[in-house]
Amino acid sequence: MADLAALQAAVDAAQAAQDSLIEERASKRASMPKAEFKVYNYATIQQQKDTQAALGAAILAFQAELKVIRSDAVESAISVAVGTISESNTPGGAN
Amino acid sequence: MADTALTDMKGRFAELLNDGADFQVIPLSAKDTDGVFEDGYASASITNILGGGAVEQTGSTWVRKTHTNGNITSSADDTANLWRVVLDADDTWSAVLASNDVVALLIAEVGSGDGTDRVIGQWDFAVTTDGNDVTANYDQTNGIWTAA
Repeated sequence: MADLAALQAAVDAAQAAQDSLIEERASKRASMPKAEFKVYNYATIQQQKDTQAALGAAILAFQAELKVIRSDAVESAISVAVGTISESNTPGGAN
Repeated sequence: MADTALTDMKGRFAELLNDGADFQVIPLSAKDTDGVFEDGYASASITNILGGGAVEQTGSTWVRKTHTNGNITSSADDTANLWRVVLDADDTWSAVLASNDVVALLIAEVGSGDGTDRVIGQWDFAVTTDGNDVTANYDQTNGIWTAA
């Protein structure tokens, strides 16, 4: 059985990396000209994907171990579909 | 109650994504009526929306989930003639204890703080928690948002 605390620590570390990336991106978005930030954004898409994937994988690993401990969880895990918001003919607001 | 958007933010989601913005999903334990949510706030800031009838759920393992720009697909659907936004990965919350229910999810900008980051819309997301994991299952075909 994997060490649940270690898995939780991995989740925390992955979340911290994601938070750090968000903070860095927000700082650059605020300070860079829009066109320059778009170039930066496109150049770092793989980094964004890797960071988010690492976080997702860490969470799933943690949850998988939890399910081993809580043997009833596999059958009754909750999954809720999220709908689609549809706009039509909306010129945009004022804020 | 329905999936709906702030009127002042309509038309903005795709624009913000195209500019490189990141977004976050915020679980709610209570929300305003659709009419108040759509038009009843002085500004679209998270602080302002959460200052009304909407209450962020922070109990048990509920946390905000961030989606960086590169993990959101935003593109034209030339067949259906609309712009479609897809969150590329589901969000999951681990072992959410009972009595920490949620009723909706907000989507908002992230990175500049709640006083500045703006809410875009909300989806119904009714979950009665019981200790199990909770997954927000985002539609990978239709997306979470379309603009026509």
